[in-house]
Order: sequence, then C-alpha cells, then structure tokens
Amino acid sequence: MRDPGLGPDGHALNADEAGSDHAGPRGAPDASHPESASLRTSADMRADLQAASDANLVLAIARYHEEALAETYRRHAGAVFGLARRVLWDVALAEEVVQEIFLRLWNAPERFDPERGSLRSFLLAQTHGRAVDLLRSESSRRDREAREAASTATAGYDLEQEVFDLAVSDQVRQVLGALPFDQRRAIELAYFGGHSYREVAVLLNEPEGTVKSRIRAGLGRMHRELASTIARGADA
Amino acid sequence: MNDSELESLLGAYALDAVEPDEALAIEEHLAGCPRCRAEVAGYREVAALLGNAGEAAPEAVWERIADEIAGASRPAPPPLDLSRMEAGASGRPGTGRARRRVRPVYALAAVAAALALVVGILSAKVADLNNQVNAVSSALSRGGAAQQFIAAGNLPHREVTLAAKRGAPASARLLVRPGGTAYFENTAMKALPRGRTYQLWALASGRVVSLGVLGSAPHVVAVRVEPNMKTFMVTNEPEGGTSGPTTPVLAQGTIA
Ligand SMILES: [Zn+2]
Repeated sequence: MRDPGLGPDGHALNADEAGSDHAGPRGAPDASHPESASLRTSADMRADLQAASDANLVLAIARYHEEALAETYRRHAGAVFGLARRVLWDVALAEEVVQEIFLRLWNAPERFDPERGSLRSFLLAQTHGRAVDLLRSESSRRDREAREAASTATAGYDLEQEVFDLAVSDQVRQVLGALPFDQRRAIELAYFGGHSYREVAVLLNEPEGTVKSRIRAGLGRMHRELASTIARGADA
Repeated sequence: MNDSELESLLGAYALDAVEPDEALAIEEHLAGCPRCRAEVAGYREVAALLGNAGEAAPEAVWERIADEIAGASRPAPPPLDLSRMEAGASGRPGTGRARRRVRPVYALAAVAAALALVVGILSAKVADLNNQVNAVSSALSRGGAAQQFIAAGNLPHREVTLAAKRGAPASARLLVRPGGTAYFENTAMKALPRGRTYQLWALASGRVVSLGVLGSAPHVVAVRVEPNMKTFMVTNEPEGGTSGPTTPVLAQGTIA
C-alpha cells in the first residue's frame, strides 16, 4: 500500500512548523517562544503520531491538530475508499465520500466514542451509511442497475467471487467461506450491494424474516470466530 | 415493534439494511440498551473486516481535505497572538508595537484577557473535548497515576516547571512522557475552598484547550498531552471545570 505520508501535502510536518499548523488561519505561530519550534524535530513528531493510538489521534484532531488528521487518513483512507468504491462502483463518487467522511471527523471528532468500537469500524460504518444513501437516490440507482446488469451478464451473478477478490485477510476469508451459503449471500447482498433486507428477500425470493435472521446469525457467528482479530484491531 | 422484533433486526441495522422508520425505532432502543449497543458494535467490527479492501489512500483527496480545512469551511478562531499579550491586552494586531517580538514575560492578567478572546468561540468544541479528556484522564488515574508518575521519573520524559512567574518557586510540575502521557504533580498549590477546582490548560497551535480538572487539592493527576502543546497553565475554576479559563493564570510553564 502506498503511503501518502504524514503531511501528504508535502509540508505538514516541516520542522519549522512542528509547533503550529501550516494551515493558514488556523495556525498561530507561537510568537513568544520562537525557540520552542525547533525543539521537536519532524522525526519526533512523526514518531509520536505513528505511535499514537487511534483514540489519541482523535483527541488530537479535536484539538485542531491537522497532522493527526493526516495520520488518521494514512491509516484508514484506503479502507474507506475501498468500501465506498465497492458499494458505489464509481471512483469519483467514492472519492467524494472519502472527503466527506474525513471532514466529518475533523468537524465532529466527538462523535467517535472509543467505548463503542474501533475507529476503523466507526469510519467504515459512516462510509457505508453514506454510500448507501447515495446509492438509494434514484438516479444513481438506475446507473448502478445498468452497471450491475452489464457485469452480471459477463461474469455471472457471483458475489462470492467478488468478495474473495477483496484483499481481506486469510482469516476473514476463511471465516466468511465457512458460513452457510445462505447467510453469506444475504450479508454480501446487504453490505456490498447496499440492499435493504427487504430487497434482499425479493432478490433471493425468501421471506423477509428469514433474511433478517440469516444476516444476524451470520454476523454473530463471524463475530465469535473473529473475536481475537477484532480485539487486536481495537488496540491498534 | 416490540423488543424482540427489534432485536431481530440488529444485524441488518448494522449493515444499513433496514428501512428508515425501523432505523429510528432501533436507535431509540439502542440509546437505552447497552446490550444491543454492544451487539451492533460487534457486527460493525465484523463488517469493517469485510470492508477492508486494503486500497491505497487516494492522495488527491487528501489535497482537497487539506485545502478545505485550511480554507473557509468553518470560521477560524482568532489566533492567540502571544506577542500581543506581552504588549498588553489592549494591543491591537497590526500595530507596530503590538507585533514586536520580544522575550516572553509573564503578564498574567494580560494572558487571561487574551485567553478570554479565544475561549468564547471555542467553548462548544472545548466542552466536548473536556468530557473526552476527563474520561481519558480518569481512566489513567484508575490505573494508578501516582505509581506511574514515580516510574516516569526514571524513564525518558520532559519536565515542565509551572510557576506564578518566571524565576518564582515551582507551584507544580508536569512530567511529559514521549507517548504523550503526562503527570501533573502539585508541589506548592494550596487546597481550594469547596466548590472550586484547579484546572490544567495547554496552548495547542495558538489555542487554549483543557487538559482536565485537577480537583481542589491535587497530588498527582495523569493527563494526555499532544505533541503540539508547549505551554501549560493552571487556573482556579468552579467545581466540574469550565470550557475556558475564567480566572487569572496561577501557574504557567513552557517545555524548555
Ligand atoms: Zn436491547
């Protein structure tokens, strides 16, 4: 994975700016302590940020610390982009979602509650919600149906393959592969297809009640089997 | 919907696959039900693993984000101009005298007055932050701040002396560990009357942020410090703390 770097804009972490933002009006040089700016080198600061937990990065973001947002972006923007693109089938729209999700984090970092899960799952839940909103707007739905029709015509209706093409870890792949087929298909249609459980029921010609139980049962089973992976992720 | 119908939808809800009216009902239930909240959080962790496609972070989008947060997307709080404080709170930006860069002096009343300028605008943001900082701080305290503090004395750290003015005896000190955990130790500040608390502040990129309330008779309190914080201040505030300093700075120090 390519690293956009801390300060992908190329100057977020210049040593001269270590004590202040480079970001124009938000940055106020610490005029009374001109000597302090040089005390912490960019390497110090990069090490601090890279060592910081996600929760502490969010605290720093709440303190208008742009470099912390850059580090958060470095860690999570790829996943945000990947999910948005997977759901929306559109690079430009997915990029808009990425921009929106990180600006939302900048403007309302207090919405992330570390007690309620990892930053990654918080960002991806927001990403998914936003992507599905866009998808459910009528015009993009028509576009998507056209694209889906084109893709199923050539590749067949093989959601399983699509999921397996994703760069998920071997363990996630294994756990997903071990789910009963009906559960997996319902989850994939809802999550990647952006369909409501009612739409999934129509697509699969199954009762709604069956579909919602399958989704819940499948997620519950994966959660139990991935518990240690999830716990490790939450520490990261 | 009754509770069991509602709970049967938690999986679909976690995947944004319920109807808007169902989502509303579920959210109402979640607000009062920690067990269902935990269930949804667990499903979202699973979904996050599925959704992790490991793509490169789009660099061009970061450029747009950086432009946006540097630009006019939200009113920027006025920078806290320390050179102006030195010239006195009445100094206006742009006047030659006020812009003069001089050696810092501890003009405490002026500092407090200048802080007040910033604080009004920031208060909403800082109030939210306070809750987070206090949560972090109390979590650290539960872990035995005093013992950790002592350990910090033998590990790499930066020490900041907080004093009423330059050259005065220390009122307190702050040991800042490389990872950002810091320990405030009161050395000479007297216990406050009932209903009052000491509160610790930092200047971060020209802004005043709360690092948390210290209590009326603090000994050692653990706080989180960010890399962009160099100057720290203590004030006397109403119990529970405030979103911005409301009284003159009692002790101040800068990372040397
Ligand atoms: Zn419940």
